[in-house]
Amino acid sequence: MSMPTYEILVDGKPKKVEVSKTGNKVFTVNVNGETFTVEVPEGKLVFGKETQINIGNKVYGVMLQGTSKTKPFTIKVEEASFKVELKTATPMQKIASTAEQAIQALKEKATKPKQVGLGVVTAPMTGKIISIKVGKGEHVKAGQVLCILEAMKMENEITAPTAGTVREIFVYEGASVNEGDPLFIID
Amino acid sequence: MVEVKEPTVEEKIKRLREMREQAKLGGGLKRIEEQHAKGKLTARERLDLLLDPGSFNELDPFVVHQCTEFGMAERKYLGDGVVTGYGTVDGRLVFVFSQDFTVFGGSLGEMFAKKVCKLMDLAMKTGAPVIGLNDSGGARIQEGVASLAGYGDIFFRNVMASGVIPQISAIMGPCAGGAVYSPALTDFIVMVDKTSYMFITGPDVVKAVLGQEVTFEELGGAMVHSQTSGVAHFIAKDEEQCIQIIKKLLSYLPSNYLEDPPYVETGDDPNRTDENLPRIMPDDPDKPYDVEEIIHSVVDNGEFLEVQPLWAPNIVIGFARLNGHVVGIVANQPAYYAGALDINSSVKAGRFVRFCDCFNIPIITFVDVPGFLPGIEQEHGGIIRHGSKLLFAYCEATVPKITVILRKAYGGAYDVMGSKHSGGDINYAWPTAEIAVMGPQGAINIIFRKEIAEAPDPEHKRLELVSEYRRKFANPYVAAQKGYIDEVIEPAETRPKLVSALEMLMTKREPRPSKKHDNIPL
Repeated sequence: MSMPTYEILVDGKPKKVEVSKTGNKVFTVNVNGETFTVEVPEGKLVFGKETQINIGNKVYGVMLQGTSKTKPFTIKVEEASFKVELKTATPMQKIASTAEQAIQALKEKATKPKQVGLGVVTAPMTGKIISIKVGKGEHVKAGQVLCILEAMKMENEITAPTAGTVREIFVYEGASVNEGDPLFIID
Repeated sequence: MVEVKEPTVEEKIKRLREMREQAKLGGGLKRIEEQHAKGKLTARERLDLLLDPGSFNELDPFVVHQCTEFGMAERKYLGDGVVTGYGTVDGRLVFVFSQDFTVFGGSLGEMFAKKVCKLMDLAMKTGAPVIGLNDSGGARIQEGVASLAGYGDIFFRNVMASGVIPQISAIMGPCAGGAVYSPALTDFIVMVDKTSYMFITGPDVVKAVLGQEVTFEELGGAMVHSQTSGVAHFIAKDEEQCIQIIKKLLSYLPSNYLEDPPYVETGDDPNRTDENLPRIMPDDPDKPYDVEEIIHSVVDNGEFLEVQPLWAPNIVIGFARLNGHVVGIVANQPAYYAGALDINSSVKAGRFVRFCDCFNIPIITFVDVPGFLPGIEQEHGGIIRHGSKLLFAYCEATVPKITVILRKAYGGAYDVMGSKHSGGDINYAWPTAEIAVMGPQGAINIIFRKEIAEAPDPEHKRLELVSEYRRKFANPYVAAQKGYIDEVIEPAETRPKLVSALEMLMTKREPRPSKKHDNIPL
C-alpha cells in the first residue's frame, strides 16, 4: 500500500510527512525520516475541540484552531501553539506511477501463458505449431522458447513461464491448435 | 399557564452538529466494522482518498426515504445510503456520489436516486465530471416501482451527460441487475479485483434457469470483465489503487466538451530522437514485436495510461502526452494475432476513438495490421457489423488525426486505421511500411496463378515473383507517390515529427454536414 505524502509547513519550516493507517485508529507517521506510532482514540481531529492523542507512550491534548485544513491553521498541543499549512497531498507524479504500476502488474499476470493446473503451458491464440524447440525430459529456463506458434503468418515464440523439466509435449510440428489448448507440461 | 422552554440558539446549533455527526455514521458503527472486515472502505473513506483534503462539500446529508411499507417508517438513516457532493481532484472541480453499503446494503430507493440526479444536474450545468463510486445491493425492494423510476431517471441523465462531461464509474462492491446499466452508460469503468462484481443475473438465477454452476467471481468478477467481456476499462488490485487510477485518468480529461484537455509541462524534449526505435522492428516481417515499446519511446517521459489492457490485446489504446498535449493512442499489437483486427479489437478501438473525439483529444494511430482476422467465428460473429464501427469512428472524428504506418497496412484494414481516406490529417510511414491490397504470398498466387502453374519449376517461379512483388509493392513509396502518405520518416525522428504535426493541427476545424445524428452500425 502506498502512503499518502504531505508537505507541511510548521511555523514556516517545511516537513515531509507520510501517513499510513496500521490499525483501528492507529497510524504510522513518518516525519522527515523519523517514524512515530500515533493513536487517535476518537478516530479523528475536529476543529475547535480538544482531543487526546497518543504518540509513543505519551498522551497529548491537541486542538485544531482555524476554519479549514485547506487554509493555514493553528494546532495547539498542551500549552504550545504551532502555525500549520498543508502544501500538497499525494502529488500527481506519485499517483501516476502507482496507477501505471498496478496496470502493468495485472497485465503481466494476465498475458503470461495461461496455466490450467500446475505447469501446463497453453496456446495464447489459435494457430499452427511450425517448430518445436525442446524435447521431452529436457530442462528449460524461465523465458526459454518452447515452440513457435504461427498465427496470421506471424511467428510467435511461446516461452517457458518457469524453469523446470519438460514432462509432456502435446503437440507436433504442423499441428493446429486453438486458444487455450495445452501445449506442454513443465515442472 | 404552562411554560414551554424554547431551545436557545446554542442548543439549535448543537442539534445541527449532532445531526451532522449522525449522518456521518451512515448505517452505524457495527455495519462500518462489517464493511472494513470485508476489506472494503466506507463511502466517506473513499471520498477522503479521492478528493483534495478539505475540499468536499456534501449535499443532502439529511435526506431520508419516504417509504412506510414493510416497517420502513421506523428505519430511517440520514443521507439514505448515498453520500453526494462536490470537491476537487488536483484542484479541479468534480461531482461525486458514493454509495453507502452500510445503509440498507447501499440499495437504491426514490430519495437516493433523487440525490444522485440533483448532483448530475449540477454537474451538467457547471460542466464538470461526475464520478460514481458504486457499492450497492441493487434496487430497494421495499420501495417497489419508485426504485425502478429512480434507476430510470439516472440512466436518462447518464445519456444526456454523455459527450458533455466525462463520467467515470468505480465498482467497489456488488453492482447487479439493472444497476449495471448506469456504469455501462458512462465513459469508463474501474473495477476492484476480488471485491467487486457486475452481472445482469446472478449465479442463483443462472443455476435455476440454465442449471449451470458458476461463482460470483467467475460470472462477473473484475478479472472476467477486464479480460473476457471488455466491460471494465481498468482493474485495480485494491480500493486505493482504484481511486488512483480515477485520478490519473482525470489528469488526461477536460472537464467538459467545450474545454481542451489539461496541458501539462512535462519537461520532455519535443525534439528528442530515439536511435533505438529502428532496432525494435525485426528485419523479418513475419516476426512479432511489442508495439508498446514504440509508444513508450515516443510519448512524454514514457508515460502511457493504457485503457482495457487485458481485453482484445491485438489493439492497444490509451492516453499519453506529446510535448504536454494530451493525445489518445491507438496501435495494432503485432505480438497478438499479428495485430489483426477482429470483432473485439474493432469495438474496443472504435469506442475509444469516439470518446477522444467527444472531448477534443487528438488521435495518434500506429499501424501494423495484416488485415481482418479470418474465420467462421469472426464472420458468423458479425465482423462486418463490428469492424465497420471502427471505420465509422475514424471517419466521423474531427479532432486532429495523425497516423504512422510502422509496417503492414494491408487491405481494408489499411483504410480503417486512420488512413488519409478516413480523414487522416497527417500520415507518416516508416521505411519498413508495406502498404498494399494484400501480402506478397496471397497476391502472387492470385495475379500469377497461370504463370506459376505453367512454369517448369512452379515453386521457384513463385518465390521469384514473391520477391519481385515485395520489392515493387511492399513498401511505402507507392502510397507516397500518390500522396496517401505525407512523408516517409526515419523511425528515430518519430517523436519530433508527431509533436510538430500535432502543434500545427491545434487550430484544426472541420465542419460536418448538418444532421440529427449519425447512424453508427451498432
